[in-house]
Amino acid sequence: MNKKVICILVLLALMLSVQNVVGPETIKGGGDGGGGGGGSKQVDIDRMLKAVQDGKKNKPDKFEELRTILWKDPITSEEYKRPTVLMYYKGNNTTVSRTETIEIITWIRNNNPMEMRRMLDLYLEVKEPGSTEFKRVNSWPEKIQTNEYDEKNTTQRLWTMHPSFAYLEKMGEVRLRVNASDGVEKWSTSSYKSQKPPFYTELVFNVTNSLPRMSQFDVTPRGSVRYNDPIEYKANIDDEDGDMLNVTLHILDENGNEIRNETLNTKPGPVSFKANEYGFFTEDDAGKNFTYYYSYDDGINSTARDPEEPLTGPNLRKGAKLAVDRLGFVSASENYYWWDRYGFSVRAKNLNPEEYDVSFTLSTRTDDGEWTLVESKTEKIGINPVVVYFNRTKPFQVTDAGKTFYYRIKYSEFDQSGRDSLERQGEVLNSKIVPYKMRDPVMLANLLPMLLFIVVLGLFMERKLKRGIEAQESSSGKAGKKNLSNGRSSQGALKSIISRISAMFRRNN
Amino acid sequence: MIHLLFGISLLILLLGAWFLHISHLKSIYSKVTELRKPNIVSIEKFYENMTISQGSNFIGLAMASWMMLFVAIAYFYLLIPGKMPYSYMNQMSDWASSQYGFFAFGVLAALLAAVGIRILDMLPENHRNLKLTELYSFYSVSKGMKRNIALTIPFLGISIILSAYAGTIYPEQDITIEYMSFAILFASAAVLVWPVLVGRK
Repeated sequence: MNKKVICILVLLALMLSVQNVVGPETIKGGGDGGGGGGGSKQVDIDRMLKAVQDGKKNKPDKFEELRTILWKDPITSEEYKRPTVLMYYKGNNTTVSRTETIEIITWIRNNNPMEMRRMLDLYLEVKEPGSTEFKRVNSWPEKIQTNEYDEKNTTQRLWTMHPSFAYLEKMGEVRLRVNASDGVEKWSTSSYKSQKPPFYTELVFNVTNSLPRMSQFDVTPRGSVRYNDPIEYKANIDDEDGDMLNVTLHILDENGNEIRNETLNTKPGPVSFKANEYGFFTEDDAGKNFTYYYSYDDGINSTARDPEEPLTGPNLRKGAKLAVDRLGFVSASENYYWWDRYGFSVRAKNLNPEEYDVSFTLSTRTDDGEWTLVESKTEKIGINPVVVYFNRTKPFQVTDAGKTFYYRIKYSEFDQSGRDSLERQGEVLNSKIVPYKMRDPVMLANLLPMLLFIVVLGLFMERKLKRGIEAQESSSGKAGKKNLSNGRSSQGALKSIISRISAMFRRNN
Repeated sequence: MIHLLFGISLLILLLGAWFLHISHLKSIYSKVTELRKPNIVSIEKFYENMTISQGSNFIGLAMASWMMLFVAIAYFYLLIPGKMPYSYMNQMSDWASSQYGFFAFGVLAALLAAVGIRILDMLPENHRNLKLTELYSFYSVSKGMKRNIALTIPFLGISIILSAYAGTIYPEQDITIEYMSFAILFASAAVLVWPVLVGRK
């Protein structure tokens, strides 16, 4: 079977070579009838290609044998000169940061005539710090075609797949070189004698890593806080290399012993640890003072303690554990006018035997509005229940009329549910806007002076303008006097005509 | 909707009277000009000879009546929401509900009316026909008519008080009160322009 295939392939190859030899003759002489012959040739080539492809797939050994038979060595000539391949680097600074962008270029000169040139395969190799051998960077060769040289017979390749040394895990000396192959020979840029910059046989860099730095340490809220307050450790971490960083918060007790730590994998920028999120503190920690510090690394370098002396915070205070209920309100009237006075109350006691000062703050809002503080007071809360009253408050404005109100009492300790406030919906406030009735003295005091003011204003205007006595002259009073002196007779005639016309109008109408 | 019709009828009354007043004076002036040809009669001279003194007390009361009319219109249309896009109680609810809110509203409206009257009064001599202060000077106003015009002051006061009542009970409504308020307002406006309507006859 194999023999048959080989025989067929060889036969087809022979046919092709015969066709190649006689082909031009056929085209030249064919003229009108040449088309038919060409079609037949195409079919043969197709068959041959299919047979070769099938052979490659099904009979790899035979395919290799065929390839060996058909292999044609590159043109070799004694005049052929091996192209010069060198590393090229424009910069002076060979000490670079890991993430610093660098341009690694390979420069090639090929003085062979075009027909003698061979395609070059280039491989970039790197020797990392601590390593004894070069590693190939590109798995597929970078190809230099024979036609891409300029008039000076040179060309170059920028190694874009190697923009920086960010991938390095160890810092130190890094060497770069290129291995070249023209299909016949293989050589390395290292094989050349030392060159003058910017040409190099090997590029040597001292690669450094930037240490991350932390700053702006803070714990909020400041001062004495409750163990379950929203305590937050904040800081800022910078890293010039922009690496992913591991930041660990270490919390120490009053004796300086580490009691908790938490690590965060983060990018450079603000760092935040929320105590409630991580459950740093429990009720047992109330009354204790804590300190903290950070440690961090970027996977290469690490800082074990920053700041050196632990920072203070938070200071947790002891407080009451409240049981709160019976939040309610009373209104001066059941109409719930906005101007009414309202009373609010809540009952509270301490679940622990101690007695603490607890502050209570009443706030109200209507619909989706903001909470408005109404009143605040402090009460001693012990084991016996205490009702905290906010009497005769006036929490609403006219703009609240017609809206549903809500009220909230916030306390300085947490209650049995872990909250620090109780909130309820009230009633819909009456839409009435004016708080006075018509018969109220206030309304009389509004309307009577207003009416009197209007009458007085009218009389005052006339007193000033004098239109009731000067109208027959002129509105300014001057024109009339002038006319009197200039032409009393003509004015009399005009007045007579106007009187007659007016009378005529009256008769006509 | 009914308030819109009220407003349109009031507007027709006031604008109609104004139009009649202007056209009446214009037609007399054209007749005079025709008769006096080839002599030219200036409009200033015409107005000068056309007007008669009505007495300072009457004009003072008439001015008060006109301002009262303006305030009554403001109270009827602008005090409570629903009649116009803007209202004193919606846009200035803090003022409206304050202790002197109604006084402030009325005084503000009266002052605006006074400013308007004063601005018209400052028009040049050839526009005396547009001056509200001289409106009645172009007509012969009988004593009875003068008395009626003066009487619009208490009536417009009643209209204002009724509108104020509607304001104090808002958002409740008393349609009868509102209709009464407008009826008095409209009747008073008709009395104020009556000399213009009948002065041509």
